[in-house]
Amino acid sequence: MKFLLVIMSLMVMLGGCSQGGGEAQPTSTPLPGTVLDPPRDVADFTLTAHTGEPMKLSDLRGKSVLIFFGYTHCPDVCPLTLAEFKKVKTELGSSAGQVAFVFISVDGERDTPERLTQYVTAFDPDFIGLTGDDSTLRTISRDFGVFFQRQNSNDTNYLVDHTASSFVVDPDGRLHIVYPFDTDPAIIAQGIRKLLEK
Amino acid sequence: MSSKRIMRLAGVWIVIAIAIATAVYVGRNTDDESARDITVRDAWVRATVPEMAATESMGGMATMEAVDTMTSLESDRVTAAYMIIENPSDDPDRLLSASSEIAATVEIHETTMDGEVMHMRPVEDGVTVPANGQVELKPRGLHIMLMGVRDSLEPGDTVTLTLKFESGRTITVEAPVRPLE
Repeated sequence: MKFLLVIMSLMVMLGGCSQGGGEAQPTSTPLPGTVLDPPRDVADFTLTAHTGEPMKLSDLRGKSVLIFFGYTHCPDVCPLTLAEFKKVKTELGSSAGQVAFVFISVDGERDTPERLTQYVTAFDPDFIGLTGDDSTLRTISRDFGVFFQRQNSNDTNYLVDHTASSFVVDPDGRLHIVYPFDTDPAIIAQGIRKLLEK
Repeated sequence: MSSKRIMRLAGVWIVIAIAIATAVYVGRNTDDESARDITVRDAWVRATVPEMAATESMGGMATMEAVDTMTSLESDRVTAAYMIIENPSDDPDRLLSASSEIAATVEIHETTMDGEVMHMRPVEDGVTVPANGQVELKPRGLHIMLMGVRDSLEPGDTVTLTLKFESGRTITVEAPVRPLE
């Protein structure tokens, strides 16, 4: 068993290295993510979904929810992460139906539901985009430990600094796992699958 | 020493001087040949978010009104360009700016991570391309940000970028568009 574990971690390490040789930066051993034990209660919230309808976090109860905070004017890290969410979904196969993939905008001013629709559905028709006002977002980000701050906001092309981790809310609505930016989609899929088995 | 001999010696020196000058000149010329110039390879641009996706997911109501709304929404398309810049010369150079007719604003940006917080900043002083070295503009790092992209970009399209260097060099790059993922 121990031997198997060593082989598996070696394979994971090698996977990380070969990824580093491509367009990714040289990565060290990928982290398995931080599993919160016990899982953290997060307050329910209501945001506007890309469909224009209000959506509560509790509407997704019973599913695992994979969440990324970002904004649609972000040309680099955000499309990379949503493309990886797509890979997580593929990796999950038939279990993907029990998972919601959610992109929460930290740029409520520019990210209208229409714009979010274009953005999230470009990656997958099942992905959910959520947007809202700054004060609601501040409350949510406090619960999730997310930082976001607008830079040179007098410019219409302003940039937003933001936490680039991915968060997994378990089917009971508690924050359960936090994955660092650039975590291998296979590792995220594995973590989510474990939550679904519980 | 006879004056004849002095003349002969001077002649030899002149010949040597001309030979050295010629060698230096030819050497310079070799340096200037394109083989030693900055080159760009593997340039690409990420596709913009496809606009049809939205229309389709809104119940396929592709009325003229809906299409108009989409167009106005996409007046602020953004995307990024990536490439490898190689400098085979003995002098470092610096990428100062980039421009393209397809975008209203083009800036050199860098993504950095401070712990888990992603920062993106314009690179004010340009990007140094070391002598006999290269610099890679790649996802999660340096990139050329294209803002106000006039038309949607999809795989199969090509974007022309003009790069200006400190040395005065201007390089035109044809960057193919790669899929969003």
